[in-house]
Amino acid sequence: MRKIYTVLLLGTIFTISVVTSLLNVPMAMAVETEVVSKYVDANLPLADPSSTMWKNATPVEVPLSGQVAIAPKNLKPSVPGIRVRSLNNRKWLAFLLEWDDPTKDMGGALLDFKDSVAIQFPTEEGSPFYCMGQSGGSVEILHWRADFQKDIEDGSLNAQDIFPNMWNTIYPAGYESDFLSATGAGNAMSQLNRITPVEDLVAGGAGTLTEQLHNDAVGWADWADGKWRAVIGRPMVTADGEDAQLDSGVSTSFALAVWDGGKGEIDGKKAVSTWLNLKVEAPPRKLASNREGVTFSDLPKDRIFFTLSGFMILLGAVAGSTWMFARRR
Amino acid sequence: MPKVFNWHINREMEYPYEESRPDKQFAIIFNINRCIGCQTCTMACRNTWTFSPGQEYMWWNNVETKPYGGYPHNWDVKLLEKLGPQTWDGNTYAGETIFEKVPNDKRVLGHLPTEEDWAHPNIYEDTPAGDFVESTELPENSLWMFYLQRTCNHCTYPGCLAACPRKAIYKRKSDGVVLVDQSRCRGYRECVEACPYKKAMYRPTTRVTEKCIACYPRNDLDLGSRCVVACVGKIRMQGWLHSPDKSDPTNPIDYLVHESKVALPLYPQFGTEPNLYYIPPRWAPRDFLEQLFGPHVKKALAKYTDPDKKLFGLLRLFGTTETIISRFEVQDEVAIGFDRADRELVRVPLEEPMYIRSEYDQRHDVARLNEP
Repeated sequence: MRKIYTVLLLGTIFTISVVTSLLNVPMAMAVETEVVSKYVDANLPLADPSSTMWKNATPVEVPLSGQVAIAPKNLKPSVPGIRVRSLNNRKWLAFLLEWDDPTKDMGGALLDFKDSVAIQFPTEEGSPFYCMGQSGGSVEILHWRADFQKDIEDGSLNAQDIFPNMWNTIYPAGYESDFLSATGAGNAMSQLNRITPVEDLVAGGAGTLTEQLHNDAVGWADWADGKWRAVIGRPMVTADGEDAQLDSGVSTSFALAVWDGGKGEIDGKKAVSTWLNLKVEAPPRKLASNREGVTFSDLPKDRIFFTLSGFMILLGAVAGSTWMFARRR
Repeated sequence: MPKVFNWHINREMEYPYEESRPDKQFAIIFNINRCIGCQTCTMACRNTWTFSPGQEYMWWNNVETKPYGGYPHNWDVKLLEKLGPQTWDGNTYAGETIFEKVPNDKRVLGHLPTEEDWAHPNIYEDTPAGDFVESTELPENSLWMFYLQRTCNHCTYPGCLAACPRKAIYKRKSDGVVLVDQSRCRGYRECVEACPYKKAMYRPTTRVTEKCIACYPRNDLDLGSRCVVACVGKIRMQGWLHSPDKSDPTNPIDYLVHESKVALPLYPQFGTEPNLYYIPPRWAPRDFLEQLFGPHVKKALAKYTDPDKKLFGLLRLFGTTETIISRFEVQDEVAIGFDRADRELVRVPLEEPMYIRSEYDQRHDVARLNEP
C-alpha cells in the first residue's frame, strides 16, 4: 500500500513541476529579463511608433538607474523606467521604446540639451562591461536623438531659429561649410542634409565612443502628452564588422539608456538599464510535409532540463527518506 | 589621480593626466597700465575667426572693465564663490584648486553660464568702484577701474581638457596650444562648464564647442596672433615661455615672467597654470589685485614702477613688430629684438628724442601757430 502512495506522491510532484514551469514560474533559478523580438511576415513600421503592428510584440518594463560608474555621473536620474518591445521580419529588426518625459527637448543653444535614447549590443558573444563596453569587448550603440530628428523635420540649425529676435547684419562668408568648422571636419554632429535621426556608433569603454563609418540605423520618434515613443531599427545582418549581428534565432545581451534633455542630461549623465536579453524569434519552420509545426529547436529545453533535474532531486529525497523509515520499521 | 607640479601655486596638485610640458609654450604678456580699452584686439579676433553662423555671441578675445565687468557676466565671481574663501601660505597656495574641490559626480569644479550672461560682453564698461574725489592719488586711487584683456590662456593644466570625457581636447606638444578637435567633439559642453575663464564656447549651429586657437597658423610662421599685432596701445608682447628651470634671460617672455617677475598669471588659485601674464595696474587696490594675480603683486608693482635699464628697454619693444621676438638685447641707447634665426627685427631708442620747432618758419616767412 505504501508503495502506491509513494508513486502517487512522486507523480503529483512531477506533474506540478512541469505545469508550473510551463506557466513561466521559475523553478530552479532567476532568469535575466528577456525581450522577444517577435517575427512578423510584413514590412516593419520603421518610422511609425503608433503603428498597430506593434501590438504583435510583447512589451517589457525595464527599470533604469542613474549612471554612477564614471564621472560625469547622474545622481538624480530623471527617467525611472522604459518600456521596450521588438519586431523582426528576418531582414529588419526594430524596437519600440516608450518612456515618460514631461518636456519635448530638441536641443538648441548652450543650455538646451536634447532628449535621446540608446540601445547597446555587444559586437561579439558575451556581456562586456555594461557601461560602454571595454577594451577587447566592444559594443554597438544605436542612438536616436531628438536634435537629429529636428534637423530632418526643420532643416539645419540656424542661430535665428534659437533666438528669433536676434539681429545680425551679415555673414561675410555666408553659410559655407568651410566656416562651419565641425562640418568641414566631417563631424556627424554638424552634418548638413541629414537622413536618419539614429546614430550607429561603436565603443570599447567609456570615452571611446565613435561614429561608425557606415550608418545602418533608421528610426523615428513622436512625443505626446509627456511621453516619447521611439522606433529604432536596423538590418538584422550587416557586412559591417562594427555591428552586432542579430540573426534569426540569435539570443544576445542588450542594454538601454535614456537622456532627458530638459534636466540637463547628456553624455555620462544618463539613466541606464543592466544587461537584458534579446531573443530574436525565427520564422516558424515548415515540416517535411509542408505543415507548420514545432520542431526540436523550438522546445523550451532549459525548462525541461530544470524540471527534470528538480524532479530527480525530489525523487532522491523521497526515496531516501522512505528507505530510512523502512529501516526503522 | 596623478599629481602634477604647478609652479604658480608652488606645490603639487591633482590632475587627471600626468605632467607633460610642451617644448615651448605660447604665451602673451599684457601691460594693463597701457590699455585704453579701444577693443581693436577684440574686433581683430572677431573678424578673423568668429564671424560665421552660430558664433554671433562668441568673443574669443574680450576686454572687460574690472571690477564690475566680465564676459560672460560674473564668470570669475561665480567660481570664486563656489571655491569659497581660500588662503595662500606665503608663496604656496594652501587652498583647493578646481581639480581638488570637485563634487562627487563631476571631474572639475565649474559652472555653466546662462544665455543672458553672454549677451552683454562689455557690461559695466568704464564703471569704477570707490568714492568720487577731486583728485586721483597713488599708490591706490580712491576711484578706480582698469581694463582686463582676456583670451584663452592655453593653460598647462587646462580645465577644459580635464573635463572632456572623450579626450576631444588636446594640448600640442610643440607649442602648448590647446585645441578642441572639431571632428571628435560631440558637444557635451563639459569643457564650457569646467573652463574657469569661460573661453570654451558652444556653437549651436554645428553642435560642438570652439575656442581661441592662438592663431596657431600664424604662430607656425613665427607671426604674432591677430589680437597681439592689432593692439593700438602696444600693450601686448607674444613669445615662447619656458618652465622656470629652463628660463632664458634673453627671451622676452622668460625675462618678464621668471627673471624680473613683473608679469603675473590670472587667478592662479584656480590651479590651471594659465599662460597669459599681466603687468598689474599701478593705481588699483592691492587686495583686489592679489585676488586676481596672486601673492606677488606688490613685488611686481615695485619692480615695474622702478624698472632697471633692461626691463625699461624691453618694455619699449612691445608692439613694435609683427614677428615674435625670440631674443632681445638692451644696449646703452637702444633696445633690439631678434627673430628665431637671430636676425635683427626691430631697434628702438630707449628715450624718444624730443624736437621743438621754432615759432617762426624762416624759409616760408610765416609763423607756425595753432590759431590764426
